[in-house]
Amino acid sequence: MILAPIETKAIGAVGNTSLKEERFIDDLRNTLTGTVNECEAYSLLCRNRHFNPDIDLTTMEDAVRIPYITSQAFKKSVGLFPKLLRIPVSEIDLWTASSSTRGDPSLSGRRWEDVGTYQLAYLSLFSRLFGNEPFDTSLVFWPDPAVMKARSGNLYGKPVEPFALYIIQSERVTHDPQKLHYLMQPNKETLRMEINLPILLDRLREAVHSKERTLLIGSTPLLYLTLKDHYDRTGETFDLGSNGYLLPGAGGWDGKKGQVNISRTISKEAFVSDMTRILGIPPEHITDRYGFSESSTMLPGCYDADLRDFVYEVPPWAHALVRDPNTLEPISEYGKEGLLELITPYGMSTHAGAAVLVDDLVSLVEPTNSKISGTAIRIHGRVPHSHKAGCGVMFE
Amino acid sequence: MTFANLPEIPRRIGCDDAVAAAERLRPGITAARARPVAYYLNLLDEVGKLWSNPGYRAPIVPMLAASTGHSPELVEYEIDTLSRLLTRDYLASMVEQELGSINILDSWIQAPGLRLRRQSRGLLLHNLAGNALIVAPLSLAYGLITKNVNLVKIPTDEPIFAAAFAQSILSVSPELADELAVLQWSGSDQSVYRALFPLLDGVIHWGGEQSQRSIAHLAAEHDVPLLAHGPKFSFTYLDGPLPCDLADLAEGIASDLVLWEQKACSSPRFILVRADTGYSDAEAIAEALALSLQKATVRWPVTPSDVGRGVRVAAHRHQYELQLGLSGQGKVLASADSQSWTVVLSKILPDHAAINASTDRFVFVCPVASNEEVLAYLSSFGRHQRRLFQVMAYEGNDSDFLDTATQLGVARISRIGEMSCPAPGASHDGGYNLTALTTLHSCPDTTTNIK
Repeated sequence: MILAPIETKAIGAVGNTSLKEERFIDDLRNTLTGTVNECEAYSLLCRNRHFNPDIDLTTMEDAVRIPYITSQAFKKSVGLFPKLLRIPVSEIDLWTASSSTRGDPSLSGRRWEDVGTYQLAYLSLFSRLFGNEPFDTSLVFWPDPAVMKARSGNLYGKPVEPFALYIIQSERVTHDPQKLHYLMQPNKETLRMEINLPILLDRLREAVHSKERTLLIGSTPLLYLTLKDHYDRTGETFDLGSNGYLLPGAGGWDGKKGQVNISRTISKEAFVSDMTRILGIPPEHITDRYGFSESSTMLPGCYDADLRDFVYEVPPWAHALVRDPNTLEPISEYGKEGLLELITPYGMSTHAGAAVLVDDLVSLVEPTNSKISGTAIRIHGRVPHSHKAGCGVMFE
Repeated sequence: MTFANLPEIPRRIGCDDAVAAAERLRPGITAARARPVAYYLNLLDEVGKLWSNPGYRAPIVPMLAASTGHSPELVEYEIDTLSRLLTRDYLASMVEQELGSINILDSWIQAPGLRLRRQSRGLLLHNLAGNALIVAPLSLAYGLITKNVNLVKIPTDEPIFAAAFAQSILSVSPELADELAVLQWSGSDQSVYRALFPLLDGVIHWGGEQSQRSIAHLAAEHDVPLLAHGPKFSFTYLDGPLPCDLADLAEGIASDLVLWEQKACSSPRFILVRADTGYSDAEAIAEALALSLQKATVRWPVTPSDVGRGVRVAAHRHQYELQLGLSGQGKVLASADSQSWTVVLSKILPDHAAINASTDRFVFVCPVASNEEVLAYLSSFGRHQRRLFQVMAYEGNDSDFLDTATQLGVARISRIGEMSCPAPGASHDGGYNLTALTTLHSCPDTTTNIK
């Protein structure tokens, strides 16, 4: 459900699987030119890199020359995030914060129309993965967005809100709003947020009984830990069959997502195998997604049994580059790991996130999988940040 | 002599094996004390000569390059550097300077009105860090010269060199087999430390804040003397006026930077330049340093194997390019490739984040108006953080300034280009290692009539 307006430029582009490359390049050029004109930081980068989007961006081959911003530059601790705006702080509607596994969130200033554009990009993933038929039941391994919103902070006079809030808010994919269950709730005694297991089990049993079209969605570690632990304790399975769908949430395969840390990594192969066994759903109904808060697009992921991994599709309203982690030059070979740069002109009217380089290692997937027509990538995890500090100091 | 076989990396052990090793070493204390200091100086001299022989170290250099992430050329340079500290003359001079006499470990020496003698502590644990190859040879040299028997915990992140170095000692002096043990266990495995500490007579620790805290806690609990070489950082101060030709100066700074890929406590994280004429002196140093680092990159290339390094450097370059470019407070000079070297010219003195960023040939050059500004900057670190100041490479001649800088916590003053290889007798973390690893004893002078 899209609760915010959509950026004019994105209409007819985001969610359009037939988007023409010419339109994408035109929109990208316009976004970059606007960013250069309105954001001093991006202007400085373009000057230093001798890049003028009006002159230097004519084909997709030119995309490698677009100056990127590293995700590190958006970190709160770095302090540059207000400088990465295209408009004055007073004109943004909110700061959207990343889930901040490491305790230092990225902050991107946005207007509602950029939030709405992100929601549109996200929801287009549902039709790609699940078709257009609504679900009967949705079991959400996140808190109620209203609870998350209540915990928001404030910075430079603007609210700071988890970007996930607006993702979760858009996940209203059931016919009946009463059948959307936010399972992460405060424990009445300890006040700690935890999964409400009785509701989960009750709804799952009912969904099986009534043959309801059911989606389990949300935090990968919480979803896996809850269902696997229950199965290990009781042996209970749920035969959702072809009515069951699973969409774990944007990372967390290292066992960490936001404030959640289950202290163990999750093998994607074991995840699919265990969820198939426990929920009785076919492996092709187990999906994933990839995105990050500095950008405005989300990549749908399907499980590839041969690769024993999820493969993520880059939609036509975005462009992905893989850069060698040592030289930062683009990699065109399939299977070679590099850093992901995600480029999109949409939902970028307020901050300089049209080209963002993140510290996730990915690789291009050879297009033999008939389900994916465009660029596809695998995600291999975060770049290891082990640093042999030893007797050389590293301040906390 | 060459390695007949590549070094054997000890398997990870548990409590029982650690205790067994300590109990095996303990009887060796008597034999270790009975040998003259000259024995150990000769041994280390021979070991140093082995390692300075390119043929001897050839099989292990590729392994070290892989485990450290340094290029083979840099590993060779690092081994040459540490070998120079193992010569008999250097070590003998170190003993003389640190203990006052080379004989004091062998016999009673005459002092005014009494006689003095130093004894080894006994069984020593070396809790090594893997951030710089020099740590293992230095630690073992201190332990051997002071006639201790040595139980070495090799670092899990770079276990190869410590094991190989110990092996080279035993290849020269196999009779030390029961006085030197090299073990490996996880640094986070407190059970092994807990089992070992009751058996120890001393600990020399190298490493980070957290491990130092836990070692210090155990040392206090078991009343074991601790020589702690915890985390530190170093810097360079060019106390004007600068020479006309900056190339030599910049070459010295570059060699300090390149060694250990700037990860040692003695590696400079920033260069302060007293700029009587304003920004231009610092700019000139930054540009000269950029040239020197470019030359150094040809001689000691950066290895492309460390993925984390590439990302870290890219993010930091980007961050400071934006921060300083937007504020007009400086600029980033960097190699054309993505990570060989980075010089950040900044009018803003480094904060904690900038100091953290300054590894892997990434350095800040900052103008300062006066010595007082440098002292004010050092004072801005809290009392507990001032113990983190290690070496200040100093080009100047203001002894009053040096007095105040050392009062503020700077542990050692160095020449440029010598930050990691000081003259014998140089202090280390505010003291002397050989003193700390021995006990001092006195007795009345029998030739003096004491009532």
